[in-house]
Amino acid sequence: MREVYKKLHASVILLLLLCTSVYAQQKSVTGTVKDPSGVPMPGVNVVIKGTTVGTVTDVNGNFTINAGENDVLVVSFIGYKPTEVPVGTQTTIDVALSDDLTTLSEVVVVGYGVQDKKVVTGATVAVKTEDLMKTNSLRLEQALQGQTPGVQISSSSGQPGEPLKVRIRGTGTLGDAEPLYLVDGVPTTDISYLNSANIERIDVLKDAASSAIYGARGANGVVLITTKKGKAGSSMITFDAYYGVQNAYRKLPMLNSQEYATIMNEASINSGQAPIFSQDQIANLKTTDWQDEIFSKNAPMKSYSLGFSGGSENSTFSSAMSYLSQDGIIGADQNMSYFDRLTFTMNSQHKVFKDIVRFGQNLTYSNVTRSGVSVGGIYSNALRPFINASPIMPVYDEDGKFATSPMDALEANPMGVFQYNNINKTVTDKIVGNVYGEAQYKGFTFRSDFGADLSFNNYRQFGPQYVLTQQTRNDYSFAIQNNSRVLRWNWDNTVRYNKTINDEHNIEVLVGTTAQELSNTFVNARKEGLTFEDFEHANLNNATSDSTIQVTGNSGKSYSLFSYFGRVNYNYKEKYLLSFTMRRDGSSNFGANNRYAVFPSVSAGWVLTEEPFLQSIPQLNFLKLRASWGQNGNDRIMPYAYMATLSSQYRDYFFGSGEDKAVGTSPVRLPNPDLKWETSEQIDIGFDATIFNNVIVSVDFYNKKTKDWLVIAPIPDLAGAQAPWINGGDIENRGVEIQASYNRKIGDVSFTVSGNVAFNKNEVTRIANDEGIIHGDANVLFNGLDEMNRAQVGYPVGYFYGLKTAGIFQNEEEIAAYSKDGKRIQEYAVPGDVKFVDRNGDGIIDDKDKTQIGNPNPDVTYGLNLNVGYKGFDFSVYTYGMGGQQNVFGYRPYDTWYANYTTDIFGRWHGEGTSNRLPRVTRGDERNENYKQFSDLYVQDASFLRIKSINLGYDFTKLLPSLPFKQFRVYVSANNLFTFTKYKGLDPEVGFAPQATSALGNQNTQGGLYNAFAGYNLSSGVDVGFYPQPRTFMAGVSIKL
Amino acid sequence: MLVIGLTACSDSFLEQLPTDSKVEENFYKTPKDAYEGLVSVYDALQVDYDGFTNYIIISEIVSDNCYAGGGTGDAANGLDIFQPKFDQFAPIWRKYYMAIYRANLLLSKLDGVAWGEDTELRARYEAEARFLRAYFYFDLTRMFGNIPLVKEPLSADGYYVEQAAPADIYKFIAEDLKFAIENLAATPYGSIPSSEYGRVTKWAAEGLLARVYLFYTGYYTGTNDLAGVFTRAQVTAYVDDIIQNSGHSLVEDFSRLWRAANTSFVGENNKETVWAIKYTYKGFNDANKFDGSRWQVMVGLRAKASPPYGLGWGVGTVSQKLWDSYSTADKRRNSSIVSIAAEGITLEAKDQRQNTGFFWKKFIPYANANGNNATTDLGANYQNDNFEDYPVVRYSDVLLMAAELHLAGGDIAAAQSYYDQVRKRGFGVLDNTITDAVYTSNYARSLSGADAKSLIMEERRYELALEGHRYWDLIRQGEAVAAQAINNASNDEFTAQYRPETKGLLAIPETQINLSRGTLKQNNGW
Repeated sequence: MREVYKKLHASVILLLLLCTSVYAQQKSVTGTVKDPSGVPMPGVNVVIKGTTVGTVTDVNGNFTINAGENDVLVVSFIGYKPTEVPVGTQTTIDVALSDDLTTLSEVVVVGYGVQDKKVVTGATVAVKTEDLMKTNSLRLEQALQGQTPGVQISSSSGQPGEPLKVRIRGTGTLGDAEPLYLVDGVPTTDISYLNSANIERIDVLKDAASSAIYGARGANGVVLITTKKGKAGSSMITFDAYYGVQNAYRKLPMLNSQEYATIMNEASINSGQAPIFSQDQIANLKTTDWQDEIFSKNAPMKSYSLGFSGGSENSTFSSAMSYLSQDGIIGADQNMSYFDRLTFTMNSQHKVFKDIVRFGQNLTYSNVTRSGVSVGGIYSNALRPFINASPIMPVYDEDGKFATSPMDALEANPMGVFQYNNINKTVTDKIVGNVYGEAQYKGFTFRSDFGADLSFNNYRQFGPQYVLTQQTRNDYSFAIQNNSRVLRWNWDNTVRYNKTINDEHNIEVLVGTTAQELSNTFVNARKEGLTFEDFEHANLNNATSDSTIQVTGNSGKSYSLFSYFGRVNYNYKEKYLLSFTMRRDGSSNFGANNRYAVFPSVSAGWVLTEEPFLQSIPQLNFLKLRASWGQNGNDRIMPYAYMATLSSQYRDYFFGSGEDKAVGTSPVRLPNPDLKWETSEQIDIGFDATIFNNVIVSVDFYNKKTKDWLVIAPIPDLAGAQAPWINGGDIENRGVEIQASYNRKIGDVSFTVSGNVAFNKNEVTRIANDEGIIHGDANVLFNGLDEMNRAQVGYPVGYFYGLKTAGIFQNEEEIAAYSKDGKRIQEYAVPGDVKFVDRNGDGIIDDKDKTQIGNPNPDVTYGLNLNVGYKGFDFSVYTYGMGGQQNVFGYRPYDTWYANYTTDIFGRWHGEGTSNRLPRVTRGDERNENYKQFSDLYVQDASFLRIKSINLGYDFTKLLPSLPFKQFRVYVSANNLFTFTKYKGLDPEVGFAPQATSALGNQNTQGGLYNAFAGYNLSSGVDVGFYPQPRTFMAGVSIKL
Repeated sequence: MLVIGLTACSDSFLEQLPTDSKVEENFYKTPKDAYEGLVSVYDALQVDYDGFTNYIIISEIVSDNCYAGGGTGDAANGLDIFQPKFDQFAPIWRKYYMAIYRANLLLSKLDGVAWGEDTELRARYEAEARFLRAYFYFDLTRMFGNIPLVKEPLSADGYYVEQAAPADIYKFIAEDLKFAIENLAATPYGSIPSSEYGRVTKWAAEGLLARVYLFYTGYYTGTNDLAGVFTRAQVTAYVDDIIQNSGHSLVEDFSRLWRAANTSFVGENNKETVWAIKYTYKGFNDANKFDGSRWQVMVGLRAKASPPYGLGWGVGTVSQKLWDSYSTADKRRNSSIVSIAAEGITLEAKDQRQNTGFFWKKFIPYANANGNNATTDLGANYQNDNFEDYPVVRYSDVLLMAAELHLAGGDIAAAQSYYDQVRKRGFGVLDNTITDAVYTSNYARSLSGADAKSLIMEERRYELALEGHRYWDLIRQGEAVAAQAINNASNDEFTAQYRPETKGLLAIPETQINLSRGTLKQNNGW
């Protein structure tokens, strides 16, 4: 986009020049214009100062101009500092332009266009290709971490390719709170297909005014991704490659067999049972370090990308291909966790009729093959059993089979569970692209843009037959094959009009329409009785048991959207800035009563440094105040949610001696014909400033209220069917974002320090049911644990809800003393048990004593980045962090008496005065329920600062200028080198809270039960065995030819 | 122009309809639609949102027959002592109101169905739906006592219904059963097409009515009739109608009623089954289907099967008291209960709670000789797909209810004869294990004394143990009887306690109270 703009600019100048007469009696001056790295620059304006006489450089950066000796050449190009050169006696003038570090003439990508950053009135933030590529991340979102204030990005799992959780200015809804992604204007939901080397820039629209043009879809912010485009006259070949090795950066300090046996003996004695091990036995136990068994050593990650770009006056192109392969650090040795991606990109743009009509296209094809281990809740978490396994169990027995547990007949060998249950592969073919045509005439620009996001998914799973314990078994081998096709298209039509009146009034008007439709088709099937027992042959055709076939499938259109929108930007001398946006949307997700909605916004800016009274302060280079107000919508719910639909699925009954199936039909959920848009209303006030030429600061204050959440809030069960979707809650996010950077050049050393920090406070302000609560699940950490998080009026969303503790009862007297009206508050406690706080003072410990004991939402997120250049060397450090949030440390299931402990258990109570922090160990049957009540014993500070990446590179073209390369950079880098945190788990960055799953399977399908929805986005920071992010060391090369 | 074209069609462009489900506006039009609606009400019988909060499991644990058992984290822990636990009964509350809603919805739509000439069919569907609604309400009100009475589908502003007086609830139940009895065909067991086993019959309705009557008039002291709808004489006549006309009779050998108790299991749908909830393994591992029983696996042996006793979770360990209460000559003891010691079984689980050494034999998942649960060998899942039907009304129960009703009516001879049929079968007279003479001289009991009622109640315990009846039989005899039977102040893990302040009722789910705008009041003692 930026290139398009530059080129446009150049063309306009050129047109002007054609109309200008040329002075006589002048000499011809020639020269070359180069960029700071010495690359010749085409299309640069060279004008004689004070005149309209000028030229532009050709494809090799050369220019020729007739000028007199007293003339001064002004050489300028967007993004670079204008340079003035007196002609004097020279006939050859070479000019090296330097970057304009004030970035004031930078353009930013906004909805449906670009705008000069100086006149932007909304709150946006951009990240450029250099910063994206430094961290060599599989996913773009990772590269954004720490670079964009107000954008909280946390991993939901360290497994390659797993989505990240992106929250712009806090969690705004209980539903889908992810931002809207547009790649070259095409809306998409999953951007894992993109290769960072192929991205030009990412712009994040944070405030309502910036995203209002996307009305219905913009409530959670908008992320605009621009892929690389070709430049006229500058052919370039780029090649980037790196190779890295990844390892777990941390292990949990689990007990070895001797320690474990000692603790298990103590637990048994405390539970009134005989010790399990004799001292002799303990001395002879061998230890299995299960974490060593599961974490792969030096799991490889590699990437190659090759790009070609260039073009002529009439056509430009950019093509690239890339391959990336990343193995996971769990199960990579068994080839169970990996991500391979192949992408091809072709972007081009052509003039077809003079400078009036153009067309172009952007197209990316990707093929992703991945295999993943389960990373969900307690029954579907690959890592968790390895943490809990008893260390006295060997991996294999003498026959080489998975060993059985000497502890308990119910304990399954975790390696067996892992290898039998994670055999799967997903192949996704995806095409995202758009074609567009554009015509310009007398200030009008018409544009029609058709985009599509088409993906084909194939999932295959093999379930071998096995028996690990009597109750951990699979009696029939099975194959699962799931195929789907999803097509989302959009068609945008816009008309833009630009007009400048008297060089003072600049007006831009944009009106347009957009239409979108989503259709999908899927078939999922599972069948048992395979004739081959391997993954390769795990196909339905090889499964023989006809009666066990389970098939589901559907096809159809499920979503459509049609909108009108308009925007007026006005500025007076680039000093007073105003912008209005209005969008009217219609969405198929709502019924006739509320199908359409209008989203307005207004914003204004004042460039104070244009005022005479501030121009006397030379240290203040630029200062702009901004303010905006606007509304956005969110319609992201399941289709048909407002309707009274009935289903015949899972409502059968089998009558008769032959057990013949009769099909039943009943409503799915209660309808709500009045269902309407969720609205986010936001006020933003901020300023941008540049001082001392090299310090750039942006500050924003915002208050974002999301009203009328689309939620399923519990209703009385008397209703009998699943609760309807309602507009059932409000939430408020308030905060401050500060971004600053400082750059300096001292001799040959140039450096840039940039940092950002964002504070956010999140509060639920309304829930439209009688409790004012949406409950989290029970049984999340283990079977038998109460609800542990909830959304409730007056609290941050998903806060941790449980009992407070007040230490450990040291002796019988303390227990007796903890009484009310002569009755013990904790009737069943014995010395060494937890003392729970009776908050309401009613003499019993129950749910009325529960309160907020933690908050998974960070108060502050920040990043600090450093870039240093010295001759050909470059060095950079990227860091980011979060503060003020807590995690639930929930690895150990307290319903499983033999589960291992971390060495933290050495700090337990084992006699008066030994501990006031951790209770005595038992076999989990103590009547006081020390761990079976969710309490602050589980909650830990999860603040962290992570050194995300350190890079050191050297560009050999500086050493060997004779090389035919524009760049030949070789580098080494380390990702995730160190994390400063007090959190005791494997990784403090847990952007995930599992939903409870029952050992019996999914309980959510019938009649609407257990919070079929609430857990979707309710919380975060619940660590039941989090796949940690790897530490990666890599080396790479980056070549431009 | 394109823009204009799109605008014009945008209304239809934005009209998306599901391609895999029906919409309420155009359903409930044909008799086939009505049948599908009716099947969805039957389907609710099978639904258990978890294995613990099943009505049968709960009933046995709170009675003197069983402990919670299971493992350390299990949901039923604490139920023996009536220990409050937040929202413990939420799943069961939800299940029953879901079931009632499906019945109410169907009943409200029957008028809109194009029945044509087939008024009989309409009457049958209505009768079945009303029977099922009565069945659901009766279980619900026995467990929670004070419940909202929802008679039709509620609108969004109508969710806040006050708890009804028990008399009103029972009147509603009685009227539903009355309609069912009067509108269901009097087809004897032998003439019922085998494809219709599991459908509600007139006999089922009459049997359930007797149970409702006995509970209501026993638990709610001072009542002699069923909420003004039925007198004892009428109920007695209906029970006699089953005995005389239903074609149901006792299976000769008690042990043959239970798959794990006798290798020649008589089979489901046998002549003694007046009405049963049907379960099947044909869900084949699809956990969403709820076609199998979710509670049966709970009572299997924990950690390892011991054929013919299948694998499960060791929930509801059977009390020594129940084992000891039987005469050793009573065939029903060994047919109903697994004794680990007596049968030489090794229990593998180290975390079995409240291990009494006794487990369920009725309903225990069946294990084949190869050590697999039968469900497994059928190609299904041992947890989700247990297929043993649950007989809601067994003919022996009908006989004992008849004995009780006739005793109350003063016809001791009739009472004695019905009582004797059951007891004799229990000791093996019907299958010639012992002779009538041996029975008469050693095991016969006479109902002519003052203890006649309690003899019948004891006989109900022997006959119907582990079928979900004992607790209700206790509390309908009054607090003193219930407390006497249930309390076990052993001060160890076998402590059990009946808390009289609760009147034997369970806790209404706290979350439901919070959501009720103050219309729901918690039961006393919780």
